[in-house]
Amino acid sequence: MTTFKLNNSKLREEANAFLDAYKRIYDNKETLFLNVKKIESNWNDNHVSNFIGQLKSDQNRFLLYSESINEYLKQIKIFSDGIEKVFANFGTQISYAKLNYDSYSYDTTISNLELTLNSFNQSKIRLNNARICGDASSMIYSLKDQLNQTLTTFTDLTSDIKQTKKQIEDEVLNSNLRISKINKNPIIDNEMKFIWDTYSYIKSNEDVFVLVQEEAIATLNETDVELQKIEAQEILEASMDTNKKDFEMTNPTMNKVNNVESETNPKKIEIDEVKTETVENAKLEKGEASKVNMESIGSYNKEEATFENNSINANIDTSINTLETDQVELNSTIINNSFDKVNTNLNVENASISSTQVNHNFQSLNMDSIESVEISSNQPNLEMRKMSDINLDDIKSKTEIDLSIDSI
Amino acid sequence: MSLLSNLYQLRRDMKSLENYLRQTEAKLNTSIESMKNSLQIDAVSYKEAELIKVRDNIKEMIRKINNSIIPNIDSEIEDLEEDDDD
Repeated sequence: MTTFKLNNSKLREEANAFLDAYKRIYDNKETLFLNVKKIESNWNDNHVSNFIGQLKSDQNRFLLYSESINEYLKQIKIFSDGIEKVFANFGTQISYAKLNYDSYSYDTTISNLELTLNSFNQSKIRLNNARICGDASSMIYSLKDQLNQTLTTFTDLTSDIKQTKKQIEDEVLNSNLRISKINKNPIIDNEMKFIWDTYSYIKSNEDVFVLVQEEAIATLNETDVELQKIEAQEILEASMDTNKKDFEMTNPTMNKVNNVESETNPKKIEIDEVKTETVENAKLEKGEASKVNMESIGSYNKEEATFENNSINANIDTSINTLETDQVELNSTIINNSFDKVNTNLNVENASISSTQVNHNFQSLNMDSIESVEISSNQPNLEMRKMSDINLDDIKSKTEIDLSIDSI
Repeated sequence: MSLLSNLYQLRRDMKSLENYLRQTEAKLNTSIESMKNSLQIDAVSYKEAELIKVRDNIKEMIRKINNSIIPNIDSEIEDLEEDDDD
């Protein structure tokens, strides 16, 4: 990109900033235009409230719009500065430069320099023709050297200035051509018009856009929910309703959750890690989900932890390292449940573990004090390898087959 | 031609040279002024400074002619004329 060499550093900066901004807009025009189209397609006076509502209810969509709007406004601001200030100044300065150039043509300067050169050469001829003699000879020879050197310098300068004149002509000409090219190129002209029209439209609706952003940001702040990552120090109520496929929460961390309720019909829910220090009521209800994976559940220490889900898969059990609860009720009809370790260090008034499934493995079941434990199973291979520190008198086994206790 | 005649001619040549140099200086001043009134760009400003140096050089040559060379020639002519008178 040629930089117009005006002797005005500020103008040059502005001009280059504009050209850079324009280039950025141009380079990102497809994304930009797509986003604008999206905004436009959802944006008219009749749908403002609907749009805001959609943004509130659809965080994923909001993020897309928010980023788009932010980015667009950012681009628009740059473009605005350029179009309102720099471009105008640029054009004005080009006109001024051209006017300046026309008014004080370098032809005059060149002409004067050529006259000077001619006069200089005449001086040289005069000196060369002089009959040097007498006591002043050495001074005259010295003068001759000085004159020849000065003349050489001057000749070179004149040549340089002629070249500079040509450069100036090229600069002015090219600058005009460039501006003319921008103005006359139909594609660029359409883009400029589109951006300008859109900018004007957004500018005139700026208050509403800001409102949308504020509303959306407020929605985000309310839940502190980010896609792919959920971090909330304290959530009073978190409600996630979605019919989207493959809704994933890769790392939800909730230190304190009073009420978590997830009702969803996704095809796939993956919760890699859930850490909840205190949960008053954690309820997961699921209808049609084909797979629910909870690979790691740190600890549940609450009055009631209920899992009601006919589709909770086997993976849940392998990762329950510590399950602490006053009342435990695990109901499952799923095969291949495997609990490596279930520790209930608290007093358990009623621990009911029932299953009709095969292959339940309790590698370690430690219960410090249990008043009543009911273990029922109609399946073979229910093994309790180790039970310690419990009162066997209080244990009533309804297991009819193959209940083996390795050590007590 | 005698040395005295040559010195007379040399003095005229030097005065003529001084004249040409003054004309050159004047034209150079015009050039510099016209450049100042033209579109100012860095390259031109640099050339203008160089032209001013050339002009100063011409001034110095004029000064040498007037202050050194011509007085020297005059002195030599005067000596020769005195010798002729003797």
